[in-house]
Amino acid sequence: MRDKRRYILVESSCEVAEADRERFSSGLYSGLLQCIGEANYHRVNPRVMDFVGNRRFIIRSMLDGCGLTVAALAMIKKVNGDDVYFYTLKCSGTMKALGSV
Amino acid sequence: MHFYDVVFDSCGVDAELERKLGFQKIGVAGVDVAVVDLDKGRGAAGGAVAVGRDRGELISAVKGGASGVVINGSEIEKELIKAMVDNACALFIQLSDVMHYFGIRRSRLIYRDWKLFSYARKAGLDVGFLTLARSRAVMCSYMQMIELAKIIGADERYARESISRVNGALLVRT
Repeated sequence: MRDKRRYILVESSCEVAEADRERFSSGLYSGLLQCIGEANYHRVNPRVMDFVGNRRFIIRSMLDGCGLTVAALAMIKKVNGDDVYFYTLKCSGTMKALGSV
Repeated sequence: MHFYDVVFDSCGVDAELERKLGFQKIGVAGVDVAVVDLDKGRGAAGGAVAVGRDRGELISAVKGGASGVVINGSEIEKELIKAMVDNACALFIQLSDVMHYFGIRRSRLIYRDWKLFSYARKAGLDVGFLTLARSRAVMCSYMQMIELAKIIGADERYARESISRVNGALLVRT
């Protein structure tokens, strides 16, 4: 069965160098897990899909957990011990539609 | 539907940030909206948003014509809510605290906000959601604001309407 997903364009307050992207993504998942909780994390199943420049990236979540992801991104203030904050700019069912922002 | 927020001057809001976050306007406290901190001993002028913890002072501010109230600590004060209903004064829930605190403290605050929101809505009050952020780290986009409002107990429709109508009225009225 195919899962319904949402793609969210997110802007980070700090730049993420190309070499640090994997570490950053892993730190972000930890932050999301902390905010969402283990019981609900499976409803979100987040995955960083792509980076758009150094400060923007696209994160994928399940349709049901999209709201939780957006709220959790407002609550995360540290990734890997560094101060950071996120603004969610746009949400869509396809990655292509996020390109216009 | 247009969305509105109010933050403090220290956030350095510009048109580009407003557009990016999806707001029609982000008002600046002290410029677009008068915000009076009663805990610091400043009396509320008519039309201002009164922020405070003390029930007596908040009731005086409401009777003095405050257009909105932010209850620090989000404790339910029945007498205050009654005075707000009688004077058609809106209640605003400050979202920057929800973003700022962490762990159990944030969970407790969300619970108190949720109880306050639920009680105020049952009493017939208009409830708005403002970040009242003092830095960009505790600002959020309109999407994030709607989701935070939903965590506090608003349904999607009310969250959108509130961030549009109740917040907007504040910026127009003062």
